[in-house]
Amino acid sequence: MKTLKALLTVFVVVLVLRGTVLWRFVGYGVWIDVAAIATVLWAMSQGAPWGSTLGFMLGLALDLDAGHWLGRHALVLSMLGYVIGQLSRTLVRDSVRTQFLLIAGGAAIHQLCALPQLADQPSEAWLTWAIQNALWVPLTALVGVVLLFLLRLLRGRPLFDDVTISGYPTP
Amino acid sequence: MGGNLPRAERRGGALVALYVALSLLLWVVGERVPQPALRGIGGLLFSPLDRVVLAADRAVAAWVENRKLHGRIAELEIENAQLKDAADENRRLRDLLGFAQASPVRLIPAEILTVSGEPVPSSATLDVGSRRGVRVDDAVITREGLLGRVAEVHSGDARVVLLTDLNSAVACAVETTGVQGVLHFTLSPRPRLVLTLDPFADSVRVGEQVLTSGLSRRFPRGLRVGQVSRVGRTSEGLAQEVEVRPAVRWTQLRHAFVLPRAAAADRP
Repeated sequence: MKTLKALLTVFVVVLVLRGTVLWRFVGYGVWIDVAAIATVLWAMSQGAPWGSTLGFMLGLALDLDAGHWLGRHALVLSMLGYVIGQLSRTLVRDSVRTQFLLIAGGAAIHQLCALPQLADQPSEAWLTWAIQNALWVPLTALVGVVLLFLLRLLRGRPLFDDVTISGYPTP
Repeated sequence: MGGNLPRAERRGGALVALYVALSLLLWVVGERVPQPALRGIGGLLFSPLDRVVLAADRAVAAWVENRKLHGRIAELEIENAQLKDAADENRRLRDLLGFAQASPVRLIPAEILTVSGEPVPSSATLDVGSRRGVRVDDAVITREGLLGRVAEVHSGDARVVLLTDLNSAVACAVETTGVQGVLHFTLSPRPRLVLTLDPFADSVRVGEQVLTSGLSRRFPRGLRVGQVSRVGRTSEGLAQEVEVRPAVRWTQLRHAFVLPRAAAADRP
């Protein structure tokens, strides 16, 4: 129940931030993919089932907002949540490098949602998309890592527990 | 193989399979889903939260803006006095010529609650809806110029499709020459507003103002849209392609005005 409440809180906070504060940066050519950050961090912290659930919920909201090609954000973010959740069991989640790479990878994969829009566009549009993502993806990862750093400062101890292999059958 | 996996793992796999199936189903039947109704429910749930976040943001912005506005008020008071003189003179001359008085335009003030669209803003939510007289297809403007049109109306809020929506098209004219064309948003080769003109139309110069032409039934004539920033030809060479820098600054959207169609019809 506690995790469900936290999930709903993250869901609401992400959507409110995305709709109110973050879009203002777009005018300056900066896009921070807060949905990808939230999905990756939630999946790292709570595992694959919860990660894919948050990804699916955020994806549905983003799809409704976009109004075109319903289901594309939901598909990508739910799978992203699942994969990151699975990976997080074998990775050192408190490593800044791991966090950076996971968030950057997640943001890059999420940007694939723009592909249907680019399908009938000339090569210049693809190039612009690639250049923009080359800037936004590391920026998103940087914001995610800074956020984790701040959360860790607030908590006073590592955010993630040790990797566990409990539940697996012993050979 | 699956039987050796722990229970939580099997549950996670089944869950993601369900989500993938639902997403694909939505992709296929998405057009039949009542999206406006769902967005209306979302708006109803999120509007109070958006207002709280925006209140803090606006308080800071208002303080900064207040300082600028004091100076501007002084300038406008002087200008207003001059305009009153001109209006009196205009009224006297109209009386002499027997012209009818133009009716004042009624605008519905609104606050912009959210803007969405990735990576370019393509829609916005206003805090006014059908209760305040907003209707679908009403034009939405800011003090800088045209923002878009109302696409969906709920009782307490409305969704605006911005000029930067891929499906948006506005009949426009270049102010000085009156050359007409259709303004639309394109991602190719980069996100921008483009005014497509007849190849034999008069030449258009960089820096000229672009206004709505009134040929589109959705937008009244004379609303400022932007400024010509580049002039070229389409890749096929069949039409002139004029790049337009929007008058509205997407980074500073706070307040807007809905121009009801009845009022729009009154515009000259």
